[in-house]
Amino acid sequence: MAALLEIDGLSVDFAGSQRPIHALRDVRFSIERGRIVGLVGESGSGKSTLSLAILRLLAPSARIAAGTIRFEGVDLFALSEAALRALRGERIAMVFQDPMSTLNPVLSVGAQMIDVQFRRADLSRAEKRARAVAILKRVGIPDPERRIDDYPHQFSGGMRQRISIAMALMSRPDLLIADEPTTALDVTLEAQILDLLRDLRRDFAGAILLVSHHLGVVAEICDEVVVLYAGELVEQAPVAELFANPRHPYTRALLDCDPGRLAADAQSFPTIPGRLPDLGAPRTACVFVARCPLAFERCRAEAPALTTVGPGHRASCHLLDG
Amino acid sequence: MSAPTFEAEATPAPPRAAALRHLLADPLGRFGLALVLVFLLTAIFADAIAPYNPSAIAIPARLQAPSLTHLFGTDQLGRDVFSRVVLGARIALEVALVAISLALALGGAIGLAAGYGPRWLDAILVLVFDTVRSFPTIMFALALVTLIGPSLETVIVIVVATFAPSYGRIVRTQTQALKHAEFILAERSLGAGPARILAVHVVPNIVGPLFILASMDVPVVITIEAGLSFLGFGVRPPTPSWGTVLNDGYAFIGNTPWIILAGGLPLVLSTLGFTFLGEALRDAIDPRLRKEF
Repeated sequence: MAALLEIDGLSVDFAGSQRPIHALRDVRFSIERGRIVGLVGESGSGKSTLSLAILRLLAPSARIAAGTIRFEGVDLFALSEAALRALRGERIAMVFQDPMSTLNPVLSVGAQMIDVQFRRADLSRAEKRARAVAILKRVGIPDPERRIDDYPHQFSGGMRQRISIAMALMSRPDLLIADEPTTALDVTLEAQILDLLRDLRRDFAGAILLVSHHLGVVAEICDEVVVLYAGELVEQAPVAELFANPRHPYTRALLDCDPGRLAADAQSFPTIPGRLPDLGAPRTACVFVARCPLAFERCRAEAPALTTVGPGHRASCHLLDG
Repeated sequence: MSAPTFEAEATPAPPRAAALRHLLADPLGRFGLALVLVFLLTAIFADAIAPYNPSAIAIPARLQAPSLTHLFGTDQLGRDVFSRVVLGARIALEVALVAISLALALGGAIGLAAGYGPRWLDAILVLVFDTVRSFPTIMFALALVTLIGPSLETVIVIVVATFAPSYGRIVRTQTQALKHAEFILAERSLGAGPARILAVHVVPNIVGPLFILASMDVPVVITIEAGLSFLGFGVRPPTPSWGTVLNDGYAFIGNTPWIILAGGLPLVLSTLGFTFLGEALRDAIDPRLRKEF
């Protein structure tokens, strides 16, 4: 059986002032049903661009330069706007980073949750409301019967993120894209939301693409991890394998920088020196060459290809060629 | 900015009651509200209030001074000026309500299309707004009266053409600002189409400020109607309007000043009332000026 979502050779450009910015280059990976895949990378690595590209909600200045995304074998880029709309929210749903701005401030939570069920012409308003109450209860909103008529500003950030998740899960999507769902929350809330996502996967049997720059979050709940650097997929592996045996120098550096993995007596925080390369420049070398402690001649001359280094484990580094 | 849940629950008054309290605490707001209420009640119950038929001509009783039988006297045709002023309030309110509602609907719809639609559509619609707006109201009125003749409908068309572009521009700007709001993106990610986004998410976010603006335009429209009627571009005689009352009185200003006073004072007072009320309302409802919202 084909994977639920297959991303194949995806390249996305943004219109720059002089030349296009390559936000994603030749990204390929797939998500199987029922799996939680973590998408990791620092700011500007293309994580959000990738999530929005799946729903085809990229800004008008973005252009799909190459590649396809297939959902259950259907090419999402070939679909009409109407067909896409039928897919959004119904089969693929998304939760955004900032719960403070993802709910309409002038409508009550109930009104929004009832409205989002607009496809269910078979349900009465009261039934829609009952469904909304039930799912709010499921995501852990206390006293949902009463609180459903409150406005977003009357909820805390963690509660609002739960409401956003509830709205996204309203129609039991096959794929939930969670774009940094815990980044705007504090640590205790983060743990609660992650628990919730893990539970929900069990209930809803859908796959989750969890976008995060936080490795601890990924280690916590993901089955698989995809590491993006400067718009390129540099490593992909099952989560335990990635943490035990990172093969790309960037992944290793990222793991070293994770505050959760630091020794208790560490004197300073390690950082990765340098910054992301110019995303507008044509690629004639490895993306990570400028910051790689192990870079050698060949890294400057040609870009490495993704090599399979183990079951489900791929990385792109010249050092892996043996 | 956002209060934690328990604090929000501790605020007892719903926003509307708080706004009303705020409005009544402002003396100018109270004064404005009183004037506006008098105007509205007069307009609504004009038939019951007016003691005479405002168009009934009684030449022998012409140009009488104010008395108990004719509170504001009579005009050159012996018509009761008080009755004409009372019925004129109804015309003024009618024109203001109809014209502003039409201008809001038309300008709002075009503004939504310009703000949410593609860039080329926006460019065309903004050009149309600016072209229409660049005509001075009086020149536009003259041209229109020449074409279709003076009438109540002409006044309404002129007012709509004057105000629709301003409302359109406001709606367009607000829509553009909202278009890229994260909650709109979130709604789109859940499959909402443009019509749903506009009706359910954009419009409720902009109607509040728009209605306040429109209510502040009521006195302006009343003045425009009176002005056009005074110049003979608006309401045709014998229909009573404050503008035609002013026009009738204007010819006799030296001998019988009460006619022009009777037509002018309600105009001044209602304009004042609406302006005070509008400003007080704006202060009361604008969340930036109120902490508890």
